[in-house]
Amino acid sequence: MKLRYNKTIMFFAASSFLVVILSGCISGKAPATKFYILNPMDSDQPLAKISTKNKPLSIKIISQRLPQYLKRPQIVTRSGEHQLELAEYDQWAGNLGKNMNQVLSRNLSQLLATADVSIPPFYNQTQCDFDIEINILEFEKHADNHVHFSARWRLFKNNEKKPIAAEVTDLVSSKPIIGNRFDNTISEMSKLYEQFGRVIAREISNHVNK
Amino acid sequence: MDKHTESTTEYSAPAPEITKRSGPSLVWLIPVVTAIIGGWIVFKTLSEKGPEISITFRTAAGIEAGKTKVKYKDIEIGVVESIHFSDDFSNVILKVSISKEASLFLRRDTRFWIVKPRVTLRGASNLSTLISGVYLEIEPGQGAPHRNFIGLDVAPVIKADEAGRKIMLLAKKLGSIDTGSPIYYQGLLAGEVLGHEVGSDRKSIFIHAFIKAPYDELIQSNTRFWNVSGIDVWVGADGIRIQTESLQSLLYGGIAFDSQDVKDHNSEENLDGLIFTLYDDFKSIHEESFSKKIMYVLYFERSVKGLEVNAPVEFKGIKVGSVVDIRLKFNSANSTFKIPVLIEIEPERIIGRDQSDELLDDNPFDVLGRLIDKGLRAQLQTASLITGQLFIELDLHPHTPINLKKEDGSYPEIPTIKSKTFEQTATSVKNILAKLESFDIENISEEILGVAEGAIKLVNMPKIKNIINGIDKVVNESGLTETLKDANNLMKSQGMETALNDLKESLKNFKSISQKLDQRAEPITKNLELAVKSGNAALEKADDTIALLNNMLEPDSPFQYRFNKLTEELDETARAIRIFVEMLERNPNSLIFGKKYSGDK
Repeated sequence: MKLRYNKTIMFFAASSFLVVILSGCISGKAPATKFYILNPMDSDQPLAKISTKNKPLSIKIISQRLPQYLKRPQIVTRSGEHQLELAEYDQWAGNLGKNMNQVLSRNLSQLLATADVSIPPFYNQTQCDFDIEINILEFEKHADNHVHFSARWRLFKNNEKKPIAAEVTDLVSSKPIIGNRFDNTISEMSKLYEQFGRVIAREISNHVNK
Repeated sequence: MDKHTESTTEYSAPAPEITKRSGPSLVWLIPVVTAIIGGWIVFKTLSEKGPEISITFRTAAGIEAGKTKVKYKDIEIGVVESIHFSDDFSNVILKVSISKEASLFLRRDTRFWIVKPRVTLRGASNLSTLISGVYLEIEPGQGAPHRNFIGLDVAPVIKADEAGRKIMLLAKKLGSIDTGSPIYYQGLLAGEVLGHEVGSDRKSIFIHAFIKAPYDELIQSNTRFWNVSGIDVWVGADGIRIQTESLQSLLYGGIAFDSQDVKDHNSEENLDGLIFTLYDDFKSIHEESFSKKIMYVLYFERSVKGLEVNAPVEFKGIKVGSVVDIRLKFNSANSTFKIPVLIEIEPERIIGRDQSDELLDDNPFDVLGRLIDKGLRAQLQTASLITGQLFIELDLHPHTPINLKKEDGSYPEIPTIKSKTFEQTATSVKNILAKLESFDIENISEEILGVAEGAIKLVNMPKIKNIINGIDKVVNESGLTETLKDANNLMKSQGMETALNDLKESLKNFKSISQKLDQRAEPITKNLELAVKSGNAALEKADDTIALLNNMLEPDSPFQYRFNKLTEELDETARAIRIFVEMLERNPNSLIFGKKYSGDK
């Protein structure tokens, strides 16, 4: 009798535990997480006629640092002036920083008509014509529905210690994003990042032509 | 009763029927039952409660009231209830409650002691009490029931239930023997020293010891105990002797014992109250077993340098006694010095102990007088040329003068003679010279002359000539000359030549050795060259290793690549963990309930 009672208790405890454990699976309608990625620019004409002097340029993106709040899979947007929102069900596919490195390298090689754009990590110390060091300051949709981009970057030539250019680039998307869809936001971000690539490419081409 | 019925009829109301209860209310049953239960509990408690005893200790080190347990064979049988001082504050008295079943232990001879950690040379014990705290150990004893006990300061070495025999030893000095010192029988651990105390004469030491079974059966009235403490180094006339029983006894003393082989099984010896002598060492057992000693005095003229007290006195090479004292006496009457050497002779060494002999019974003076007449003399002998130790040799030298000084009459005197070793040789040489001197050379030469004259006469006699011729003939015929020649040849051919050859060989050998030495020098230089070469090789190897290291550290080396890859992977992993932890931070219940649904914004 007593044994049976104990068994009942055990069964009850076990089942309630299972209910608690499995409730995560059945509670509500958990929507599927969507994943996004920045895209490089469409195939375009090179930025300018660059006198390559027999050989194509070699460019190295030394580093592209992201602010801490962007180093996460969730897509970050600003819901207020100081308030951030993380989209649990809309995430970056992979590492945003690496994604940005890839996109920038492809954009630059497109714009400067060179295939030799290397991104970290580097396994050898090859010398390049231009080294770029980027510090992203902000890159997200603001409460005003515009995507804001801000970066401080430095350009080095021929492995010299002193940069030939050091600038802060602030970009804002031209038109506000309509709707809550992240698709729009991401494509706007891609365009803005492309613009940033153009800024760098222009600077490099200026120095090449000099 | 009647009144009530009347009133009810008067007011025509149903009259309450009041019946007086016989006896008290049922409510009273509750306190009664409670009292019974309470009483039963009190009775049970009291009946189960064991006796309370008091134990007096000198200190209450580590004992806590209500906590410290009393244990017997590691089973708890009681607890210390309270601690207070004795009336004169010299001791502490513990009130201990003992469980009922253990109350049988509380007898007159029952002993209590505090069990605490002990670390000695013999090892550590009771270390568990460091953690559990001290406890009291009880050892049940015999006798009438008892309630007040005096606790032991130290745990008894031998428990009462251990089979064996307690013995008492009498020693001149304690040495390194202490409580717990081992007692050996033929090198086996047979017992322990329980304790020691100074005897009533304030000089001798009584040592209490315990001999474990089965060794206790070996204890008889003739058992002899001796000290085996430390290293026994003994330098005497017979050299240096070093002895030790075991390493353990070397460190903290020990006692060994031995019994006579003959054991009288018929008579059961009563050993109770018997006190055994503890000899200083094994040798002194032998020495001290001769109780009867006769003192003699010897006077030596030569230096006694090397003669010490306790030096042996030997008779025909057998030790019969020892030197007791050496003095220097000045005689002011004739300004001379004398060296009286006092010796003691143990006559029991000479004759059987049990035999009665006139030697013992008679006046030693008379016996000695007879022996001296037979030629008994003492002389100094060198025992060891290295140490220069001397001993006294007694022997019968008849026909030697009896030199008696007769200085004082307290001890009989044995005449001495000069020792053979050096002085006697010198004396005999002197004697020979003196004899030579005393020769009457003139007489002798005259006699020799006469003899020579006679000889010439003899030779000139024709008969003698004939005899000589005869001898000549015999010599020639017998080939004696040949023999002599042969001997000569032999000398020439073998003896000398072989000797010369040997010398030659030796020189050759020497030469070859020196040549070999020369040759050795060359290989050494060769070896040096080899060493230098191998050193070079080692350096080259080191070069290679460094180059390898360089390659490994080069930016495009596979090692570097893999290392970079690894850091990258680590980076990713850290990132994943960080993100996971962050999510948990934000939604701690997301593990169970899943992610919060926010929807597109």
